[in-house]
Amino acid sequence: MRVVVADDVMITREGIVHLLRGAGFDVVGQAGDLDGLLRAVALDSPDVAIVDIRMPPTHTDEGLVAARRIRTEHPGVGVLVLSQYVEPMYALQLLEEHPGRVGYLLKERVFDVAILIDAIRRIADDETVIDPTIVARLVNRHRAQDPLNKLTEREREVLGLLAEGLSNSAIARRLVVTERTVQAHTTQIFQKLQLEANPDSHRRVMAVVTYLQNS
Amino acid sequence: MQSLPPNELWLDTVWTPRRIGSGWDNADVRVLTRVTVSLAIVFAGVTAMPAWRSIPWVTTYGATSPAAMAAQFAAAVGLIAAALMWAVDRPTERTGLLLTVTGVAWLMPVWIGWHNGPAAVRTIAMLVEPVFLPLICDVVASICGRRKRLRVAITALYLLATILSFAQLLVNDPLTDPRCWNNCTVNVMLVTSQPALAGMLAAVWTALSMAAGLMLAAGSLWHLHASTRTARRLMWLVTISASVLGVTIAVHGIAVVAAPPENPTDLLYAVIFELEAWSVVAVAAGAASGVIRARWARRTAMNLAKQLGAAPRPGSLATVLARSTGDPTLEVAYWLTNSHRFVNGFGREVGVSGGDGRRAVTQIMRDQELIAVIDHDPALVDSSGLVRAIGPAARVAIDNERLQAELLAQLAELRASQIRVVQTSDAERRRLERNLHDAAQQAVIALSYDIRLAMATSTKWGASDLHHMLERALTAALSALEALRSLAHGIYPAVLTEFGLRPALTSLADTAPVRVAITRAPSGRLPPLVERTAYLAAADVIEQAASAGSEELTIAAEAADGDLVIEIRGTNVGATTPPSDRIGALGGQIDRTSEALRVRIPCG
Repeated sequence: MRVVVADDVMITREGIVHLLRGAGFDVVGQAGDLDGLLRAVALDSPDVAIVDIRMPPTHTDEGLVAARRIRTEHPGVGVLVLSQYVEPMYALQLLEEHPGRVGYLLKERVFDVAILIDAIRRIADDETVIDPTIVARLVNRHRAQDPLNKLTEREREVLGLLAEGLSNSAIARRLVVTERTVQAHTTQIFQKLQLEANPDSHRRVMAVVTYLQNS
Repeated sequence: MQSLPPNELWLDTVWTPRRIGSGWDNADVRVLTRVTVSLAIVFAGVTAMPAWRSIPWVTTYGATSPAAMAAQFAAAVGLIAAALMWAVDRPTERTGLLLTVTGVAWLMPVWIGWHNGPAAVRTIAMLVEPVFLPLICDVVASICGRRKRLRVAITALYLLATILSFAQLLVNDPLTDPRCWNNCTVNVMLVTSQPALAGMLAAVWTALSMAAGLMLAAGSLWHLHASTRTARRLMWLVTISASVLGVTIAVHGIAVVAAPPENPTDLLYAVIFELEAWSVVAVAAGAASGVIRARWARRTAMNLAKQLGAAPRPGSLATVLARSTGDPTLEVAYWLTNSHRFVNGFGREVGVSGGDGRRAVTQIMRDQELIAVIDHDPALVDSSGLVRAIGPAARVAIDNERLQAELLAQLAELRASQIRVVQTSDAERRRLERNLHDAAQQAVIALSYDIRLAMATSTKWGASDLHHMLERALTAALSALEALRSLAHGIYPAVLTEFGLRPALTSLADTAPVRVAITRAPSGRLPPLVERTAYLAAADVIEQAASAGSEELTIAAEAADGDLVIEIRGTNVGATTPPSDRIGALGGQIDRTSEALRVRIPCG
């Protein structure tokens, strides 16, 4: 699989490249800023671009800008954004325009090679990846009159996995249950939270995360 | 009210009102004007006698009909009445004197046509009569504000009119003139009768008066066109009637050439005369209206102290002055001696243009010291009179407003400097947050990478003890990373800058150690300083209330009437202290009860 890596901190970038090459990925390009990344994506036609959210010049959300442009100009290229921010808003912004083939992971997670490889594969398979830490914060929040209180422990768990972007079969594997059980849980959750069930799995992730952020 | 001794208030205008010759003392001019106006009134009365005598003989226009007689006198009375007003109101300006003389000159044809009157009197009237044309031009120019080139043209017109009139009398014998209708008398100044030369001089005079009439018309209209709105409002009557008069004078010249002889009973000439007379009346009315308006403005200004009271609202003086002078562009600017700048009544710094022609600046001085300036339209000719009138009358008001303006200016300065302090501290916070992310966090991430590499190696070697130690090291590194992240977030939350108050408050609530309900939050963006201040207030209060033992808090933030109001409710909230310096720097305020805290921050 062809991958491009963009991060302005060389040590991180080379660490990622080293890990990916070790895992058998074909790292076709590297970049230290937004323009370099866009050039690399245009020239090297990767399957997935791994992008640091903070890059020169402003060190704020260049990664999100890059993701948006890559997903618009090269719809076949998936984008994994690496971030320092445990903020659902960044993830939501990433999902808003192009809900599929994107991922938002906290930076420290990339050196856990299993997680990194899983995320890249899922993105290349047209799925969505949201960092578990962010989902955990949304699910385990302390809000007053929280509608999530209506859910059972198990439903809460399923809701979290839905928000992370896992498909029903992946959730079933993770929880060691049948896919039909997951389906039943999902229906229950959507009913209790009065969420409209959406057959499109990308839209489902966004609906869940938006709901968790806003209510 | 206290009135000032006259020498305490000293006035100066950058735009100086017109005065008669510099060698003249104001007192002399005042006496001269008064005497002249009084004599002119008597003269107008006496003129009734020759007017009456001319009636059956039609040697004047007034003799043709009561209407013509009324027009003849209305113009003179109008001019002299306007002169009287100027003389009373502004005795040191030459316009009053000019209007008087013009009124007298207008009556000359009546004396020329005095049937069976003394030849010497009628000859003098003939000599004076042509000067009416330069005089009326001078009056209009004097009211509208003269320019140097215009001054030259009018002086030339005076000279030419005088020379032609004189020369005409030296060679013209009216008794030999077959067209004579008004001055058929002995010319006492006649030296030699030269009918051809006299006819030529008369033709030159006709041409000159046509040209002058057209110039008067065009000049007046151009002046009206080029004026500011305020000037137009003040000058329209004078300029429009002067242009009608100018055209009528020119038409009169054409009639003399094209439809001789001049005959008052002829309808054409009668109409021309009526037009001429009534436009003179209108010019006089325009001249008087300026004086009336200025008087009214001054009277209003006199009551300024009463209107403004002891504690005027900021900017009241400028508002009252603008209303009473009819100049909406009028501004009052106070001079701050300490900081060497002008501020308006609200304490905001203003530029004062200075007499560049488009704006006029009148200074208000006291004890040789500049207090304030009035920046106004140059069409407000009587600015110095206005200031003289308001000076002593509104001393308290001006002083109060100046003090208030100074205080407001200082307050604004103080606030600006406080805001700069807050902004500097925010920039510093932002730099810190960046450093934490880009240096410290990256270093720990690199460290965790190395630990993972070491872990992989240890697995390869089968060194399970080492592997466990490295695992603990990795856990420590990851929790250091978490600590750094929350530190950075606390210093400067990036989500606030990127997405605004609502998501930032949500994030704050989700990570708070107590339950926090956000019931309302503005969805749009607000000025960054306002957002940060509201956020920090909420963060501080949550933290303090939580450590004091609160369990549940409610936050409602709302942008209303240009303010952001953030209300936090819950036990112990009343005892918390939000960042009051920061809130104060933005002009905000904090209200509290035992269970609620409300912070109001202006967004402007």
